Amino acid sequence: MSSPLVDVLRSSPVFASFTPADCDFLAQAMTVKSYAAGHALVRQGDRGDTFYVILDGEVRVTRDGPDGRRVEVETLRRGEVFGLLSLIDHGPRAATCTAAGPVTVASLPAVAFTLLYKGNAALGFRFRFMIARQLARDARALNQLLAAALQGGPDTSATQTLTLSPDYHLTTGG
Amino acid sequence: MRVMSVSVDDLGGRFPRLKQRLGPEAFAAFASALERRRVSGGEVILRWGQPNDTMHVVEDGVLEVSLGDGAARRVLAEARAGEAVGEVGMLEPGPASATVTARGDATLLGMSHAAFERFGAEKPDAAGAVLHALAMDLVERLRASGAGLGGSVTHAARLEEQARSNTVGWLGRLAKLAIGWEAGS
Repeated sequence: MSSPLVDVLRSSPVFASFTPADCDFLAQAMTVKSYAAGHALVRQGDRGDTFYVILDGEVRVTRDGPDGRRVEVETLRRGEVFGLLSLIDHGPRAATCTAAGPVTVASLPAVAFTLLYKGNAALGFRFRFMIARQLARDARALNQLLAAALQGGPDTSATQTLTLSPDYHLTTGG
Repeated sequence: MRVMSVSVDDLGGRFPRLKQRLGPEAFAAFASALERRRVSGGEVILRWGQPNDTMHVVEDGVLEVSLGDGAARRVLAEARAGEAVGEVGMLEPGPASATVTARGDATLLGMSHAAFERFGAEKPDAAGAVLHALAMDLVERLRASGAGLGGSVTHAARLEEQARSNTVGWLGRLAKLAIGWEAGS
């Protein structure tokens, strides 16, 4: 089976642990749709219930801080994902994701995810392992930053920025 | 250190909350995949910065979660029966974020990354349920910390300032991040 969606799933590092059959199975459960520039796919604070994979175009991730200032978090491209957390937790979205230009995305509602892993336990395991590993990387980044802050290390200050992406995907760096 | 397999019957009574969360079948499958290990007082289970790929659930005894060495050593939290350390390393092997030491003799139930992958291949439903429980817990901790960070992009310098001005609160938060998969039975 080949389609633009299957090609993206099979080549994306996010789905590296998935078998080709997993990618085909997942593709069948997803809906592909295109949006115009400026369309907000995800709004910060809304309850999330859908997971997205970008097939074409760019998605801007921004976050409104408590002081009302809007901060650019990152730009996501083909093969990258957002809304992963909504598959396991329907809490508020941590950021806003807007089409930077015309974009095509594949979406998977949480309900379809549940049906997916009930019908294919092996895929469900790999999918949930992928989500948990992403969360573990985030937790480690946060733990390390907190540990460094508590120990007052000289390298921790100013030079490092802690970024929380739509899925609390934390990255440390300049 | 001695290694023994785990009797499921022993465990159901020790971890009722975990059993309830996973359901009896997933719990039994998970319990039978754990490896029991006795450690002596003072033994280091995890060392800050050193590679870790194993989760340890405390069956008996007390573990201390700490940062720093010698005079700078600071105990952040204790892990007691039913609580776990190292779950981040089991999911994604990498450097430990704190040092964990047995306060006295203790019994631990361990699961390595490789063992978890085997468990997942054999019992994908049960392993999926365990992953779901772990993921929910990580999300809670990340959300809690996100609130503490102002839910926003934050400079480490500000973090450090907050840590200094509210040491107790931040120690507690770090402790929660470092341990606390399953809060006691």
